[in-house]
Amino acid sequence: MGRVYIIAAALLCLLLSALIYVTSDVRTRVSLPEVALREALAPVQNAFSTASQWVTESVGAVGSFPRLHEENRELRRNVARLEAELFALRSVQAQNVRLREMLDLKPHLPAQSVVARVVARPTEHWFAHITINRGRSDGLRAGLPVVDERGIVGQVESVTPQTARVILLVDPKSAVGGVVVGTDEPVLVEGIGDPTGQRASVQPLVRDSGLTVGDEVVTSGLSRVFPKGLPIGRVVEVARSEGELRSQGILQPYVDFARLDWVSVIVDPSAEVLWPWPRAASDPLVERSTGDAIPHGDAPIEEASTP
Amino acid sequence: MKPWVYLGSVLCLYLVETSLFSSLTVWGVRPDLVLVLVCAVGLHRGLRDGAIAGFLAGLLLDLGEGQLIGLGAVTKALAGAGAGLIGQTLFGTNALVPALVLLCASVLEQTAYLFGSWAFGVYRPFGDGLWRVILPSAWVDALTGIILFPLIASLVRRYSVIGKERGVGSAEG
Repeated sequence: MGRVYIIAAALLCLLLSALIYVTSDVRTRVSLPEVALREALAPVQNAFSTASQWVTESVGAVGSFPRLHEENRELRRNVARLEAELFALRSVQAQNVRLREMLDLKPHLPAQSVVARVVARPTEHWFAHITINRGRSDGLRAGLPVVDERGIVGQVESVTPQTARVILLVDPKSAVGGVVVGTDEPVLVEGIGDPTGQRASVQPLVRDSGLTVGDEVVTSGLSRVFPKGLPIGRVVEVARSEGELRSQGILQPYVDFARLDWVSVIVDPSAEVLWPWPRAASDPLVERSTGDAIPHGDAPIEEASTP
Repeated sequence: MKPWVYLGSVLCLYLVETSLFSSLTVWGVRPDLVLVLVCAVGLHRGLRDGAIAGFLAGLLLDLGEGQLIGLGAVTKALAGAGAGLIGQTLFGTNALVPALVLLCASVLEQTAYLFGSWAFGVYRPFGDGLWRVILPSAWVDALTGIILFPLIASLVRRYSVIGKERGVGSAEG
């Protein structure tokens, strides 16, 4: 009996040694019992592995909650900071666009012109004036015309060494002589105190006026305050009273007074201004019109005839 | 313990170890749940049953692994036999005995496996294996034994149908 055990044990050792030796190297073929075992266990292993992964992720998520909370706070802070920076960049971008437009206008203005920044506006809506950051020390004086890339802004009312107060075109104290483009019909543009700053009155200075909606008005150059040919605005309403030969209209200025940032002060009003017609497509009035660009072409503006 | 219950338990523990807790590593090693079962059988049933249980479990795991088939059977048999041998004198006298048995069985099994793999041309550095596998495995298996041994031991006792249950400090018959 003992010999049988010894022989069996020896055979078992030999068999195991052979099995271990055979399976000690890389095996490209798998035996049938192994295939059966692996295939039988595979679905369970798959389910267990999925469950394990879920548990691991869940435990990891719970464990990482404080870190995620802190990370979330940090991200929120970063978002707020980036939004502030984005806002600042957009502001700078818009300012850049305005300055480029001013630079485009610069070659058309007299050499003696000063670019200024709007630094203050009135607290009351009823006043239509602005304060710019250029003054007497820059050669400014009262009465000088002020423009931006769209047209007339107003004129300098008063100056200090470092600042100037500009009365806007739409202020009731403002009056500018103009002519209708194409007919050279002289008109007087006066502010009416419109709180929105988008309207001024336009009054023909001749009998049997042919003023119509859509007429464009530029400076006549007769007042010696504004150079000739500066865009003022477009007629948007015309009213004729029966029995009266004169008509009266409402003019919408080209300049958007609510968004004034930079302006140019023309120091020498007697100099000739070659305004860059036609106006750019970004002109608010062009955009606001019914779709047709204002038919100016690039024809030079003729001297207004006097009544 | 009924063979089918035992083999089913081995398979379940193997699946739990390799799939369910596959990402659960302590000191870089996973707890050897099957070794806990083998040692439980060895402690309760003695040297011979421990060796047989270790051999069968190791062979099953070797088939699952597909490498060095038979070596795991031998080393697990050694571990089971060692557990049975220690259990003949110590089991039941102290609650930490199972942990100590598992510590020794794990060292025995892993060391035997390392040398056995050398014998068949699969070389692994001893120092690296000692510090990275053998010692961490021993401690992790011992700690696992403290937690799981009562549960597995009750399973072994419940399904034991062959032979007489060993008493405290009694010798295997």
